[in-house]
Amino acid sequence: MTILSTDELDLLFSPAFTLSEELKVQYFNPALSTLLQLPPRKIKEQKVKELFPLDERFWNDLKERTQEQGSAISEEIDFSIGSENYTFVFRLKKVDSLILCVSNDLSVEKSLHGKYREQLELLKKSHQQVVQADKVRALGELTAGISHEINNPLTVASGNNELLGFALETEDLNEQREILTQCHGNIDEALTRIQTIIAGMKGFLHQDSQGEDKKEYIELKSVIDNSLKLTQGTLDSASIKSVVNIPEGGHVVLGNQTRLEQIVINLIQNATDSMRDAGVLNPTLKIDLKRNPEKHQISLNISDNGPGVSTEVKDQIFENFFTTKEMGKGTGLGLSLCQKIAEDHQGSLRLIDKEGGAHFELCLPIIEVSSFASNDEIFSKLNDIHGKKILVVDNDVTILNLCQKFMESTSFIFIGSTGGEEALEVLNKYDVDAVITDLNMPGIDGSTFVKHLRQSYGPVPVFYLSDTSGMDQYKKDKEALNLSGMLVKPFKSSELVSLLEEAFKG
Amino acid sequence: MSKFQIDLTLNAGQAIVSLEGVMDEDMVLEKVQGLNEETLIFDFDKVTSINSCGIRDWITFISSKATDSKIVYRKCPKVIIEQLNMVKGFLPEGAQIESFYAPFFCESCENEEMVLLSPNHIKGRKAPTNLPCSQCKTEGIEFDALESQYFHFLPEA
Ligand SMILES: [Zn+2]
Repeated sequence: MTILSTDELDLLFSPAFTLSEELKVQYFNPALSTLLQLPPRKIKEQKVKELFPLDERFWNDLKERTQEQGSAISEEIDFSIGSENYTFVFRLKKVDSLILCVSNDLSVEKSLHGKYREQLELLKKSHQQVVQADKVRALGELTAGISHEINNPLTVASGNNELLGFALETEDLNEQREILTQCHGNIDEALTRIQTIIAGMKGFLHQDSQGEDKKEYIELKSVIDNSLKLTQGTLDSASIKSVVNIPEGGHVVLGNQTRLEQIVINLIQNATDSMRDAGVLNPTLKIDLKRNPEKHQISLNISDNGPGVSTEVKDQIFENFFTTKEMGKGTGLGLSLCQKIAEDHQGSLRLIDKEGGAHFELCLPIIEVSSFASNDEIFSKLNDIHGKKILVVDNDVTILNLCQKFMESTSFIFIGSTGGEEALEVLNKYDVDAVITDLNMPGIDGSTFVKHLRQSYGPVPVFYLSDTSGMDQYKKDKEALNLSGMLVKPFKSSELVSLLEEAFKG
Repeated sequence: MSKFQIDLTLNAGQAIVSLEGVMDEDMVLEKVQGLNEETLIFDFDKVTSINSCGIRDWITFISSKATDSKIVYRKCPKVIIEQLNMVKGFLPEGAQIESFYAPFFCESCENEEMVLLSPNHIKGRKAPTNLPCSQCKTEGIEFDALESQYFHFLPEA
């Protein structure tokens, strides 16, 4: 094939030109004249460094590389002509005694990319505002119910306080000891109840500085409990019976407590409204948790025996601003927002087909999966830096959260697991560099877990994690299971880190 | 102040739209979106630059107008002529160019200037050769670009 003629180079939309040995422009196409905003007579035979406001070294370096290797590509380079800013890439090729130079204009792409990032940030911010507004809206709709919830214990407290007053009027207080104690107990209980409701409200409305993106290891049971605390009054006022079914064993996910509560509260509110508006007999709200080990998911199901979701609107309920509620009630953002929150958790929210009533299913990945998913981000961020992956097995979420926190500022990468069986599954799929395990766990205990681990998994360093009562077990297993050490609860960040650093020394 | 502005004058059956500044992704054409006058005159005199996003938006806009109105381009600067020559659709079918700028150079005093021409000044894509320099008044300043390229938007003969 012959080299393109200058006639053909004339057709290019991007600047193309040839350079002599002295880096003077010989041929150039009209696109170059357009770019430089110069007439042809000011381009021909000019030194390229005079035309582009670029360092002379840029062209010299490119020329050298082209002459050595026959061709060369420049890095992305920024320059301005007049008031315009440009980003270009140049590609050079030796053609006989000349150097052919073609270019690619990336200016628009680059400036659009910058603008796109800006818009995305803005969008993120407004999303957070929408989330917050939806919470305020939800709580607003719950106010009547909540004040009712507060009024009950308040009535109990003031009643008991009155009794206390009577009791205090008697001469021999000792005789009244029993009733005094009882009243005090009742008042205490009532105030605690009020306190929890208010704490729940505050927690729900709280917005942390990171815009609530912060995820922790949480028990889904506590999400359900807190949501019910805030909606109990509303449920009571509509005479709705709630049936909660949470099977034994932990249901831990990596998530944001408030955001997940937001989903549950929204779903409970929708169920309540639909059952109340339809005047259902024996209205019942069912909430249950299920583990789906084969899908590596936990599902949270909320269903009611109301009129359900009609086929006409089924496809629309997750759309923005869709609402079946009358004006002024509901923003129509609830379900679409809930779905977005579920997706932020690598999960899903869907409507399940059901005879009579509505059934929503929130699926979230079990923590072993989400640990890896969230760490994937870290991997891609760090690229070349190979952090050591530490698998921590403990059924206590506070310990998992603590370890995660401790490792956040180190180069170690935290992977959490809530039990021996799950941890073994993790080890089947992924490589880890060290294991730290609790001893007393439901299901298989720590010692048994490590036995299995040693049978099917290589000589990875393993540490026990326990209070002093686990010492004996540690001494017993140390040789047999080739343990690298023990971390004694309670422990400090420095202890955890130095233990791990010691293990990877040399 | 925005990088792009539009001035709009409405006469009987005619709208004069003066464009000013940078035509890029931030250009907003809302103000002229609803125009349906018989003749739409676009004055590009104060347009300083245009990028591929601006071209795209402009083509979408002008092609929607060209079906119902007669389109006239007035005082197209060099940056617009360069696009006219390169991008199909920038000048919709049936549209008319009333006037445009062309670069000239005076060899006597080295003055560079943009001269406003109309298409009937150009015969066979050749620039007029008898224009006087605005500074030294020497006659016959030279066209300061490639004629075949610059006048590509005009008929060959
Ligand atoms: Zn002159």
